[in-house]
Amino acid sequence: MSIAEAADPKGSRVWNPLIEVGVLEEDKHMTVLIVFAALAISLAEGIPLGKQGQWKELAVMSTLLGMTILLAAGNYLGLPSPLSLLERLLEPIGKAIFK
Amino acid sequence: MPEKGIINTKQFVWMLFIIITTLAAMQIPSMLIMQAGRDAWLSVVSAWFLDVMLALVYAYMGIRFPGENFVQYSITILGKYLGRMVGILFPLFFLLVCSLMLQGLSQVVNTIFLPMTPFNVILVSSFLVSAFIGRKGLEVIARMTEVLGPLFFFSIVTVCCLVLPAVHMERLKPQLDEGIAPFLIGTPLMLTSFGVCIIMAMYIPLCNRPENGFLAKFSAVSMGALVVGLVTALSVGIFGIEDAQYMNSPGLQLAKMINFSNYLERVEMVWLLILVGSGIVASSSLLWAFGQGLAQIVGLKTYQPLIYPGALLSLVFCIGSFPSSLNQTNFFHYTFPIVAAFVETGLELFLFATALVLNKRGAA
Amino acid sequence: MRLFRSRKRKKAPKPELSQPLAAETDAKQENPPLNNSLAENLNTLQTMFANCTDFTYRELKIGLELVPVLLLYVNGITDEQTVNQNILKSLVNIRCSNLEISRSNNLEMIKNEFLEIGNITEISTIGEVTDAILTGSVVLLLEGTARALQIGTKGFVGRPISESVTEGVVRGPREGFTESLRTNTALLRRKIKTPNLKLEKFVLGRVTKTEVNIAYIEGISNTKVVDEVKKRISLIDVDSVLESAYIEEMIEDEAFTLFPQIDHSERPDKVAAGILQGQVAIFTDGTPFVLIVPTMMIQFLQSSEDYYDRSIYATSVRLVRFFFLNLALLLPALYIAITTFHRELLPTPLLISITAAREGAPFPTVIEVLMMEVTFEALREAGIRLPKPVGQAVSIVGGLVIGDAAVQASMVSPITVIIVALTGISSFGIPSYSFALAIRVLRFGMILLASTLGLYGILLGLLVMQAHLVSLRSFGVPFFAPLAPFNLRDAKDLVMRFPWWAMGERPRLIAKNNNNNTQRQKFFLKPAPPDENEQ
Repeated sequence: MSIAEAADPKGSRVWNPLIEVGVLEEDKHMTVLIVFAALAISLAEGIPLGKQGQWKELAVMSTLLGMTILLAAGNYLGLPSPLSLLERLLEPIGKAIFK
Repeated sequence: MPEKGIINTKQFVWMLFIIITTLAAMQIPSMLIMQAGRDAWLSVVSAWFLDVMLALVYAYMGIRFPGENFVQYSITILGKYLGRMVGILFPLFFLLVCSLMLQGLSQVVNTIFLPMTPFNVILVSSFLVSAFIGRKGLEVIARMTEVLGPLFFFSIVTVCCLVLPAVHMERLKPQLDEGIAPFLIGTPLMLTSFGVCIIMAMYIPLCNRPENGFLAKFSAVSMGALVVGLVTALSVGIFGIEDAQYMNSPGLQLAKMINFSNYLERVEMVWLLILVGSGIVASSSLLWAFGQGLAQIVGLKTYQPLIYPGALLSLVFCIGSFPSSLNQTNFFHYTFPIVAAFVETGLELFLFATALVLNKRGAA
Repeated sequence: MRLFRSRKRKKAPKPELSQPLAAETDAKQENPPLNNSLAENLNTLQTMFANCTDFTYRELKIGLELVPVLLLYVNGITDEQTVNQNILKSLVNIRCSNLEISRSNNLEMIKNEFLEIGNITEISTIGEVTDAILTGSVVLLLEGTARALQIGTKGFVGRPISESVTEGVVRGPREGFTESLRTNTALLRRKIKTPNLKLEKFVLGRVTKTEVNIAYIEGISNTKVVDEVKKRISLIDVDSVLESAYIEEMIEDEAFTLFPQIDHSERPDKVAAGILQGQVAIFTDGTPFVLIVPTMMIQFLQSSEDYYDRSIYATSVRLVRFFFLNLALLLPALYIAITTFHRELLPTPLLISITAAREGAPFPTVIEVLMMEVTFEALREAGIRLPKPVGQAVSIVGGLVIGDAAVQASMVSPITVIIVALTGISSFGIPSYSFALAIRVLRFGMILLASTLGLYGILLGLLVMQAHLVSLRSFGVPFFAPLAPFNLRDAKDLVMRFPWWAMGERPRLIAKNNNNNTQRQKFFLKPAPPDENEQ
């Protein structure tokens, strides 16, 4: 019996809203989600920072979120991510050393 | 300093132990077995030795620059601009490790627990929880590891003891039949994942007894090496190298062997839950280290607003770079050791040498 | 370790209430001194207490000189017998002739020579007079003197000392606190007979003027904690304090949390034990519930009887309690997670019987469990609020509905009923009611998590909950201590309850003091038969 079958031998009684709604099936949906999350974080963390006048903190946080959105957009458009670039650069060395 | 909390030596040990072991216990054993065959456990031992040597350097630097972590003393040693450029590599490295760790854990959860749930749901929720914990600060993470760490350690040791009767010693023989090359090459593979405990340099200034840094690291690495060594040796002894090297997680397979008189057959789920819990806490301390390091480089008063953005960035790394579990394993196997060796050993030794040559010391 | 997290009070102090409360106008703003003329004083007070039927005054002329004297009090909160026997009688019986109106020491003379009452103070303003009257004293005004005597005659028929209802024990003292502050402090004083037991008075509430006492033992309690308690209490500025919960919510460390961070008890022995291990007790007039700070989470899971039973039994009871705490929190969630996502976790025979029992049930497990849980909560709530006879009817009907009819109609499976009932029983196993409330609420969160993410969801929920728990503090003491941060010495009274002869030290996290002396008793008190060689 495979794991999936073992988890649900009948196949009908499973009540899992996340499956049924069918959101988040592809990473492209994730990009939208990430942009929304970035906005939410910038509001939730940024407003108190602005109130306390911690502009430097706000700037660093916004930069981080901006980078995140750029990278997510890159993913959406199919550009290689920085880790993939790193991998392309270093993997040959690693493969030469390790089995 | 952005972080106001203070930890004690016991917490220091458990935090390091959890970070080392969750990263190493899941995926490393099979890679190591693939690399070094029956001698894999020797790689663990030699990596343990080298890592303790490395810890000496970190502990010494922690005392030479009292109250400073490596992000700060790289600025002290190399000056404002170069120091910052070098210093930012450490937080970024932690972020990378966090991505790897949560990706790996989420994959296991997806295969074992929730095969029908979309992978991203699991990934996002694990990031959310670890960011929540990380934002609460070092003291909270330390206290959580104090509860989870012993649980984790004893659960692994119990699993190992219970499967001990199934070991066939002849599968571990002969040792060193291909010379010492395989286990020597396996050593850096192991060392790089033990080496994540360079995070100790972030904790030393916040420990109530900074001089205990080496002791803490030594105990943590020894426990970690014991656990990983046991898992590696036992998987070879039980499954044989041919099977063990292609297993996704030999530790999990070991736990699967346990059943109580054919009645309770899936005890490994409980073990896995503890492992995943520890992994999430470990990645929250990695996120914390990222936030804290970045805040120190830029000179911020608080690091907490950076935790959620950091987690989001790490999540984007995961999604963009590891579309399948194979990518993550490959990255972990071939690319990560190079990066880790560069950051953990190269950078720190470079800083160490520069500090000696330029005769820089921290303000006492 | 930092002892206190800096408490963020409002940055700018809020502007004073621009329109003072009506009742306080007289007391605070117009607080003129007393007048020489008796009539004028009476006039002022009569306008002040207009429309107050319980306000009583009695004019009489005393001595051979017939000096006019005025007695003022509020009927019902003074002890009528004391007023008649000890005050009125002695005043009427004054027969000497030194009380001339012009003399200045008349008041002293009355106080020193004639009144048969212990507690007498001199006061001199209208405000003090009203305060005295309203707290049950008799005030004596004398013609020609701008001062008055406040005669302590507080007397009120309250509930007698009776057995505590909320914290019953099999073995241990039966008495419980009452609504009267003095009775309560007396109960405490009878247990701790040292002048080092300090009782400090605060008056809270602009309108209710509730007396609040904090009790601690000097030399045992942590002075920093005592100072912090005083500071936090003195920052309270409200119009009313009717129960100690009012104070609790205003002095706790973290406002937005389900978990109580301050323990309360109506048992004198529990409060005394707390004070003796270095805690500070806060008594509030008008309620039998006394607050105990600082509190660690583990104390909500200990009952005072643990210390009266044999230690091994107490330890095993505690183990059972921890087990039931986990059941109360997790059982329905585990049931849902396992039957929905991880059926392979169950042994096959059990899985078969569960599946058979669920045959024909129309709802998914989550809905079933939620329905039954909500019904159970409703029943419990109804059982508490309704008058007793009706309450019984409700529980019978409810029990039938839950237990039988729902299963008969195959609305829910019998297993769900078992699970919900077991959960309910488990939640009664938690000694602290207020802590059990938190668990009750969290249980629903766990159910929702389990229904979406299975065991993994439960794990996430537990992690978040634990992160929250370890981040809490109660007056500077980590809430999750002595488990995290771990303290081996304090762990003597964590899950294990060591015998009394082995608990040589007070908990260090609570009683850590300036002199760092936490020794409670002589060491090596373990009883043993006399050594036979030593004769």
